[in-house]
Amino acid sequence: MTRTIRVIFARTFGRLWSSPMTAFSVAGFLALAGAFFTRALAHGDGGTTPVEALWAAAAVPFLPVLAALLTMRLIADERASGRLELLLTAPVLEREVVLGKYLGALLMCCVTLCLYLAIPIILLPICAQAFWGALSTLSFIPAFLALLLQCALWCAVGLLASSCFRHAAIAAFASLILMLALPHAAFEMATAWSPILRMKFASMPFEAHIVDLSTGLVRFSTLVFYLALTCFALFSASKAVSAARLRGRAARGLRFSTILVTLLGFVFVGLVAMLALRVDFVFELPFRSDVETTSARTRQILAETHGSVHVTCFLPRRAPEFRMVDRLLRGLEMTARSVAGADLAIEYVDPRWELGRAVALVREGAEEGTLVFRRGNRRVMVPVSDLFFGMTNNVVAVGESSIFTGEAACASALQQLSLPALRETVYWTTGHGEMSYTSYDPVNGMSDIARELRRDGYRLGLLDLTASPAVPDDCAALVVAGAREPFSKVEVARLEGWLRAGGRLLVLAASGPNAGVGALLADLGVKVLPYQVVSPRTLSGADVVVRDFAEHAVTRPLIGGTAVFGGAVPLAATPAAQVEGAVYTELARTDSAAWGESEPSVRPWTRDATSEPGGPLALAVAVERGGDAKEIALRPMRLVVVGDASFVSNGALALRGNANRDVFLNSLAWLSGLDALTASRAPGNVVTTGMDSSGWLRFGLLAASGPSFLALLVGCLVFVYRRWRS
Amino acid sequence: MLEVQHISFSWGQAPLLEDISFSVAPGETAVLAGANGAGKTTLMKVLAGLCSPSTGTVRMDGVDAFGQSLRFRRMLGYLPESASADPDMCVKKYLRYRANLRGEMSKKIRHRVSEAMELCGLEPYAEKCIGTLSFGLRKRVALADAILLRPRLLILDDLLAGLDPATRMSFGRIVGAVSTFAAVVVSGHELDELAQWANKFYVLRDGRILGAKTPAGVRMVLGLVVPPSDQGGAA
Repeated sequence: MTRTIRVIFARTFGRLWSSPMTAFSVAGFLALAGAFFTRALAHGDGGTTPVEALWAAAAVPFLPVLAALLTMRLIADERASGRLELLLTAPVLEREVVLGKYLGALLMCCVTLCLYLAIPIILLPICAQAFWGALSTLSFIPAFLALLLQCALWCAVGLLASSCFRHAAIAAFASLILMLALPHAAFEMATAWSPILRMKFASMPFEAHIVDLSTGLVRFSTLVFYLALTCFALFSASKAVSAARLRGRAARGLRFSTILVTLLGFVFVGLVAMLALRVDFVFELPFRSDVETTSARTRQILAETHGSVHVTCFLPRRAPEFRMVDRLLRGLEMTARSVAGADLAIEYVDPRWELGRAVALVREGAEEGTLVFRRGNRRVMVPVSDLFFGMTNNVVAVGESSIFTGEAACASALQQLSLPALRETVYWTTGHGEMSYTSYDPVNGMSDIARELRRDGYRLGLLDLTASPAVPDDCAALVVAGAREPFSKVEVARLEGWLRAGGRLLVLAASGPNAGVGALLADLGVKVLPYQVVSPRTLSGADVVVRDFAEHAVTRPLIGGTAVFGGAVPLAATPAAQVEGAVYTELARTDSAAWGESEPSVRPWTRDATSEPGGPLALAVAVERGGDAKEIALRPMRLVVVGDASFVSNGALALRGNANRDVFLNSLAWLSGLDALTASRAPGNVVTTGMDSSGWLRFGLLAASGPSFLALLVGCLVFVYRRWRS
Repeated sequence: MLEVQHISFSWGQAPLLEDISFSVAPGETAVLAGANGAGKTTLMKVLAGLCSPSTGTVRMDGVDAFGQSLRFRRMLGYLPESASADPDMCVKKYLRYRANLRGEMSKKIRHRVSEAMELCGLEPYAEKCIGTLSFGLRKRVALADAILLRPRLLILDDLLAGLDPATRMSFGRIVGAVSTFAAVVVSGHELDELAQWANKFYVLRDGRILGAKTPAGVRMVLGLVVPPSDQGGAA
């Protein structure tokens, strides 16, 4: 950095620092970004989008406005007041003037981002102490750098606009058009015009870049894109400043050459960006969240798998989901090495470039967008669409509406390769208002969990007990998923007989003691209480976040994770559970703040301690009878009851990346006698703040007003001090 | 020595300056006079390297104002028509900033700033914010800025406009002191005051420069005074 740049940089920063306009701009930015971060965090609670990405994405819409307000006066004002002319009579180069001012504005943006960083670093730990334990300050470095990279571009664009106009307000308006309207209009037009671009860009690139960069995943082409555009904007700004001294007829040629050079510069930037896309590669920053991303289940499967496993990623490199899949595969490769298990060899086949390999894969039956796992002669194909919950029509809005569950899918594929094929059959009862696994309804269907079961080697079938004389012999477990109507006496008798003979039953209980198999459950030791469980720790109150899991084969691997129950009913033991040989276990319990609401239709919900049970309340229980030492030859009866009819509905699974799926899969595994094999847990990177409604309110107020108030205070103090001195 | 050779400048189709040539040596003070709109400020901007002429050259000690712009600007001190110092800086800080910007060595900056402030009588206002100063004091600050690094060429555009007689006299003393080591070009309408410390007079009319040796000659060229021969004829 030359001395001139240093001098102008220091002057620019000092001027911005002491300007009331800067204080108001920074305070406004912090208030809006803080409010949006709170909103994003509240929506992302229970999701898998990292907090760092939520933090960075919340600021993205306001960065251009901040940059425009900070840069609008830097050159426009100087030109209008004649100070630019005076500046240019000093022995300084135009580019030094532009660069010095640019760095001053960028440093002010950096200071603003540091204040914004205080929200997750200081305020979040105050309001959600338990949550903060899973994060670290270092993990925010990539997100901070991502925002700074975008700031660098917007400041350069703002400076370009400022150098082209004499009025600061017009410069700010032009900046906003260049930074917001133009890219969005170009994006909308491009996606409307071209189906290829529509597939390529699931969301606005400037927003998608932030999500990627903030999780530490850096694409070379993204860096080049930002740097090239920034350099071009600065180059154009210095040319605009140079043009200010070109007056009169003699300057026509010079002006023309300046315009020509600027246009050529733009073409050059385009070519550089295209070249960067061609030679693109991805690397990860070393700073990451401490959250464990590879689950115990996956590590266990990888450790138990030996020999060489070949994984082919048959996916275009430009597909939006490529980055996440690539990251997952490399994570699996590293984990396999660390547990000394399978030797994973990963191959990427881009159908647009490796035509020969692509044709070979298609002949093998793999479609584009598939992961092919090979071990010896065995082969398992996993469509990439299976890696995302909430993915529709093969369009992924990464980090927004979909939840990446790729690790579980890959672990299942590895398990299928390494273990003998298990084809247990699970029947689902029908005819009583049950939720059906054949339904693809995005809210009430159960197709997603059915897909998971099939991937884990289960066969699924429907069972109408009124038409069928008995439960089929090949039934490993029977599922009653949210039956609303009571089972007839005949059906109950058939079920009871089957259970006494060692049957296995999984019930997702609907409200009402007699709904579904309520009467039978009471005989088996479980009573569905006539209340709705309400928690003051969630925004809705009807959603109950459960972290208290029992030391049981079903829930042991889930300890530390969270399950979310919506509109749940509490469960209790009946005297039948106390008989000899019966083992009754409360698998999941609420915390002590929850209670059973007797009149859920009457708001607001308040607890009547005399008539309503308080927490902790059991929301999932397991009962095992028989199979002890005396009856060792007999197969024990097993029963799992979950007090939430829509516990694993498509809506519940797509909305939040919780452990519901794993509770269900583990329950079925335990019922089928496969305890050890499907030990699973929720993804490690699930956002669980654990804040209640008052906590959210406190955090929202602090986030929106704390840093912005600090900025205003500092601005006022500096302003008053300067007034006092002058 | 400042050498201006065959300068022409036009704005659109209208020529503002045509074939202007003159020279000013260090130690000399040249006054550029002319009616409003005659092109004085444009010529001063050309001399300062802010406007590029259609034809002709401007050289200072052989350094071309446009071909070797940076070297030329190192020798230049310029006071624009409207004094435009940063209003939110205090005087001393502003002068330090300007000295830094012009690449003065850090050790000498303090000395240069003190010298310029002393010469321009700005010491009592050293810590004052420029925005709070009167017009005359702001002009003093601009002059201090122009002479800060002992320039070889000093261009002072409309130096005395809007100043009271006492300030004009003090400005005269300052320019007189500076002209011992610099070539000074001053433009303005205050011919009598300028005459006290100027060696050369040039008059701009219709974009051309006309020589005159005294203020009376300038007035005559400008048509402000009728020549004695004409007076006799009329009588």
